[in-house]
Amino acid sequence: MSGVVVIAPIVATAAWPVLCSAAAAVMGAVGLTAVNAQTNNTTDVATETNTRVELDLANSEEVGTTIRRDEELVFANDSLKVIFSRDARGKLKICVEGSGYSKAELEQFGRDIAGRVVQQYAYQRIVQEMQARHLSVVDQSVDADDNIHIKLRGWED
Amino acid sequence: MPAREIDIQIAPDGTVRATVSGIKGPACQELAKELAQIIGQELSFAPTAEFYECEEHRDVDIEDQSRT
Repeated sequence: MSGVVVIAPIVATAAWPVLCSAAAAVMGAVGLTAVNAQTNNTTDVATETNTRVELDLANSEEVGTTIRRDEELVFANDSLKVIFSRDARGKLKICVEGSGYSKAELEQFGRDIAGRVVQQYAYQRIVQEMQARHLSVVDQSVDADDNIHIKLRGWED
Repeated sequence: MPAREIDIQIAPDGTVRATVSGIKGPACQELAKELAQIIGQELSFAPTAEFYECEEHRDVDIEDQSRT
Protein backbone atom coordinates (compact mmCIF):
# COMPACT_ATOMS: atom_id res chain seq x y z
CA MET A 1 0.00 0.00 0.00
CA SER A 2 1.12 3.52 -0.61
CA GLY A 3 -1.26 5.74 1.25
CA VAL A 4 -4.70 6.11 2.78
CA VAL A 5 -6.69 9.29 2.24
CA VAL A 6 -9.92 10.23 4.03
CA ILE A 7 -12.18 12.70 2.24
CA ALA A 8 -15.35 14.56 3.24
CA PRO A 9 -17.44 15.00 0.10
CA ILE A 10 -18.68 18.44 -0.84
CA VAL A 11 -21.74 18.52 -3.03
CA ALA A 12 -21.08 21.21 -5.61
CA THR A 13 -24.24 22.72 -7.02
CA ALA A 14 -22.43 22.92 -10.35
CA ALA A 15 -22.70 19.15 -10.42
CA TRP A 16 -26.51 19.38 -10.28
CA PRO A 17 -27.04 16.62 -12.90
CA VAL A 18 -24.99 14.20 -10.76
CA LEU A 19 -26.95 15.25 -7.69
CA CYS A 20 -30.26 14.69 -9.54
CA SER A 21 -29.14 11.22 -10.54
CA ALA A 22 -27.95 10.42 -6.98
CA ALA A 23 -31.17 11.71 -5.43
CA ALA A 24 -33.33 9.73 -7.88
CA ALA A 25 -31.43 6.53 -7.06
CA VAL A 26 -31.81 7.01 -3.29
CA MET A 27 -35.45 8.10 -3.47
CA GLY A 28 -36.34 5.19 -5.72
CA ALA A 29 -34.79 2.80 -3.21
CA VAL A 30 -37.09 4.10 -0.44
CA GLY A 31 -40.21 4.09 -2.63
CA LEU A 32 -40.52 7.76 -3.57
CA THR A 33 -40.90 8.78 -7.19
CA ALA A 34 -39.97 11.99 -8.97
CA VAL A 35 -42.71 14.56 -9.31
CA ASN A 36 -42.72 17.58 -11.61
CA ALA A 37 -42.09 20.54 -9.28
CA GLN A 38 -44.57 22.68 -11.22
CA THR A 39 -47.42 20.16 -11.15
CA ASN A 40 -46.91 18.30 -7.92
CA ASN A 41 -50.23 19.42 -6.42
CA THR A 42 -51.87 16.21 -7.61
CA THR A 43 -49.57 14.13 -5.46
CA ASP A 44 -49.53 16.41 -2.43
CA VAL A 45 -49.93 14.53 0.78
CA ALA A 46 -52.62 15.88 3.09
CA THR A 47 -51.15 19.36 3.31
CA GLU A 48 -53.20 20.70 6.22
CA THR A 49 -52.03 17.99 8.62
CA ASN A 50 -48.48 17.87 7.31
CA THR A 51 -45.43 18.04 9.49
CA ARG A 52 -42.49 19.68 7.78
CA VAL A 53 -38.77 19.84 8.52
CA GLU A 54 -35.98 21.56 6.62
CA LEU A 55 -32.35 20.48 6.69
CA ASP A 56 -29.20 21.86 5.12
CA LEU A 57 -27.35 19.32 3.05
CA ALA A 58 -24.05 19.14 4.93
CA ASN A 59 -20.98 20.08 2.94
CA SER A 60 -22.67 21.66 -0.03
CA GLU A 61 -21.24 24.66 -1.79
CA GLU A 62 -22.09 26.83 -4.73
CA VAL A 63 -19.66 26.40 -7.59
CA GLY A 64 -20.86 28.14 -10.70
CA THR A 65 -24.40 29.00 -11.62
CA THR A 66 -25.59 26.08 -13.67
CA ILE A 67 -28.92 25.85 -11.83
CA ARG A 68 -31.47 28.52 -11.08
CA ARG A 69 -32.08 29.32 -7.45
CA ASP A 70 -35.74 28.37 -7.77
CA GLU A 71 -34.97 24.96 -9.27
CA GLU A 72 -36.30 22.07 -7.20
CA LEU A 73 -36.29 18.33 -7.23
CA VAL A 74 -39.45 16.82 -5.75
CA PHE A 75 -40.08 13.18 -4.81
CA ALA A 76 -43.25 11.84 -3.19
CA ASN A 77 -45.35 8.85 -2.24
CA ASP A 78 -48.74 8.66 -0.48
CA SER A 79 -47.50 9.95 2.84
CA LEU A 80 -44.15 11.67 2.28
CA LYS A 81 -42.74 14.42 0.12
CA VAL A 82 -39.04 15.27 -0.17
CA ILE A 83 -37.88 18.48 -1.87
CA PHE A 84 -34.26 19.25 -2.79
CA SER A 85 -33.62 22.93 -3.46
CA ARG A 86 -31.10 25.74 -3.07
CA ASP A 87 -31.48 28.46 -0.49
CA ALA A 88 -30.71 32.15 -1.01
CA ARG A 89 -27.01 31.54 -0.27
CA GLY A 90 -26.82 28.80 -2.87
CA LYS A 91 -26.63 26.03 -0.27
CA LEU A 92 -28.56 22.85 -0.93
CA LYS A 93 -31.52 22.16 1.31
CA ILE A 94 -33.74 19.14 1.91
CA CYS A 95 -37.32 19.63 2.99
CA VAL A 96 -39.30 16.62 4.23
CA GLU A 97 -43.09 16.76 4.59
CA GLY A 98 -45.38 14.02 5.80
CA SER A 99 -48.64 13.28 7.49
CA GLY A 100 -48.72 10.99 10.49
CA TYR A 101 -45.05 11.53 11.36
CA SER A 102 -43.47 13.45 14.21
CA LYS A 103 -40.89 16.17 13.52
CA ALA A 104 -38.19 13.94 15.03
CA GLU A 105 -39.11 11.07 12.70
CA LEU A 106 -39.05 13.31 9.65
CA GLU A 107 -35.76 14.87 10.74
CA GLN A 108 -34.18 11.44 11.18
CA PHE A 109 -35.53 10.35 7.78
CA GLY A 110 -34.19 13.56 6.23
CA ARG A 111 -30.73 13.07 7.74
CA ASP A 112 -30.59 9.45 6.53
CA ILE A 113 -31.65 10.56 3.06
CA ALA A 114 -29.10 13.40 3.01
CA GLY A 115 -26.29 10.99 3.91
CA ARG A 116 -27.36 8.47 1.26
CA VAL A 117 -27.59 11.16 -1.41
CA VAL A 118 -24.08 12.37 -0.57
CA GLN A 119 -22.90 8.74 -0.63
CA GLN A 120 -24.43 8.19 -4.09
CA TYR A 121 -23.09 11.55 -5.27
CA ALA A 122 -19.57 10.58 -4.18
CA TYR A 123 -19.91 7.17 -5.84
CA GLN A 124 -21.05 8.61 -9.17
CA ARG A 125 -18.42 11.36 -9.19
CA ILE A 126 -15.60 8.92 -8.37
CA VAL A 127 -16.56 6.38 -11.03
CA GLN A 128 -17.11 9.07 -13.67
CA GLU A 129 -13.89 10.99 -12.99
CA MET A 130 -11.62 7.98 -12.42
CA GLN A 131 -12.75 6.38 -15.68
CA ALA A 132 -11.70 9.58 -17.41
CA ARG A 133 -8.27 8.98 -15.82
CA HIS A 134 -8.12 5.43 -17.23
CA LEU A 135 -8.94 3.71 -13.94
CA SER A 136 -11.65 1.07 -14.38
CA VAL A 137 -13.99 -0.44 -11.81
CA VAL A 138 -12.90 -4.06 -11.37
CA ASP A 139 -15.06 -4.86 -8.35
CA GLN A 140 -17.81 -3.21 -6.32
CA SER A 141 -20.10 -4.25 -3.50
CA VAL A 142 -22.24 -2.98 -0.61
CA ASP A 143 -21.56 -4.47 2.83
CA ALA A 144 -23.97 -5.17 5.70
CA ASP A 145 -23.37 -1.68 7.13
CA ASP A 146 -24.30 -0.07 3.79
CA ASN A 147 -20.73 0.99 3.00
CA ILE A 148 -20.06 1.02 -0.75
CA HIS A 149 -16.77 -0.62 -1.75
CA ILE A 150 -15.18 0.07 -5.13
CA LYS A 151 -11.91 -1.30 -6.48
CA LEU A 152 -10.42 0.69 -9.36
CA ARG A 153 -7.44 -0.46 -11.39
CA GLY A 154 -5.32 1.11 -14.09
CA TRP A 155 -1.84 0.91 -15.52
CA GLU A 156 0.89 3.42 -14.90
CA ASP A 157 1.88 5.43 -17.96
CA MET B 1 4.11 -1.40 -16.12
CA PRO B 2 2.81 -1.99 -12.58
CA ALA B 3 -0.93 -1.80 -11.89
CA ARG B 4 -2.12 1.11 -9.82
CA GLU B 5 -5.09 0.37 -7.64
CA ILE B 6 -7.49 2.37 -5.52
CA ASP B 7 -9.70 0.66 -2.93
CA ILE B 8 -12.51 3.00 -1.97
CA GLN B 9 -15.02 2.74 0.83
CA ILE B 10 -17.92 5.22 0.90
CA ALA B 11 -19.74 5.29 4.24
CA PRO B 12 -23.51 5.89 4.46
CA ASP B 13 -22.81 9.47 5.56
CA GLY B 14 -20.72 9.99 2.42
CA THR B 15 -17.26 9.93 4.01
CA VAL B 16 -14.74 8.45 1.58
CA ARG B 17 -11.68 6.39 2.61
CA ALA B 18 -9.39 5.52 -0.29
CA THR B 19 -6.32 3.29 -0.23
CA VAL B 20 -4.00 4.03 -3.15
CA SER B 21 -1.50 1.30 -4.05
CA GLY B 22 0.96 0.49 -6.80
CA ILE B 23 2.31 4.01 -6.92
CA LYS B 24 5.51 4.79 -5.09
CA GLY B 25 6.62 8.14 -3.82
CA PRO B 26 4.90 11.52 -4.13
CA ALA B 27 2.86 10.44 -7.19
CA CYS B 28 0.69 8.47 -4.76
CA GLN B 29 -0.11 11.57 -2.74
CA GLU B 30 -0.77 13.50 -5.94
CA LEU B 31 -3.41 10.96 -6.98
CA ALA B 32 -4.95 11.09 -3.49
CA LYS B 33 -5.11 14.89 -3.71
CA GLU B 34 -6.67 14.68 -7.16
CA LEU B 35 -9.34 12.33 -5.81
CA ALA B 36 -10.02 14.72 -2.92
CA GLN B 37 -10.37 17.66 -5.31
CA ILE B 38 -12.93 15.75 -7.37
CA ILE B 39 -15.28 14.98 -4.51
CA GLY B 40 -14.57 17.28 -1.63
CA GLN B 41 -12.09 18.07 1.10
CA GLU B 42 -9.14 15.95 2.23
CA LEU B 43 -9.38 15.23 5.96
CA SER B 44 -6.19 13.21 6.31
CA PHE B 45 -3.49 11.36 4.37
CA ALA B 46 -1.50 8.55 5.97
CA PRO B 47 1.46 7.25 3.96
CA THR B 48 2.30 3.58 4.20
CA ALA B 49 5.69 1.83 3.86
CA GLU B 50 5.49 1.67 0.06
CA PHE B 51 5.12 5.43 -0.05
CA TYR B 52 8.75 5.81 1.06
CA GLU B 53 10.15 3.37 -1.49
CA CYS B 54 12.04 4.93 -4.38
CA GLU B 55 10.45 5.12 -7.77
CA GLU B 56 11.72 2.31 -9.96
CA HIS B 57 14.58 3.13 -12.32
CA ARG B 58 16.07 0.73 -14.81
CA ASP B 59 19.58 1.11 -16.24
CA VAL B 60 20.02 0.19 -19.88
CA ASP B 61 23.42 -0.40 -21.44
CA ILE B 62 23.78 1.11 -24.85
CA GLU B 63 26.39 -0.67 -26.82
CA ASP B 64 28.89 1.55 -28.53
CA GLN B 65 28.51 0.27 -32.09
CA SER B 66 31.10 2.67 -33.50
CA ARG B 67 33.86 0.41 -32.13
CA THR B 68 32.77 -2.62 -34.12
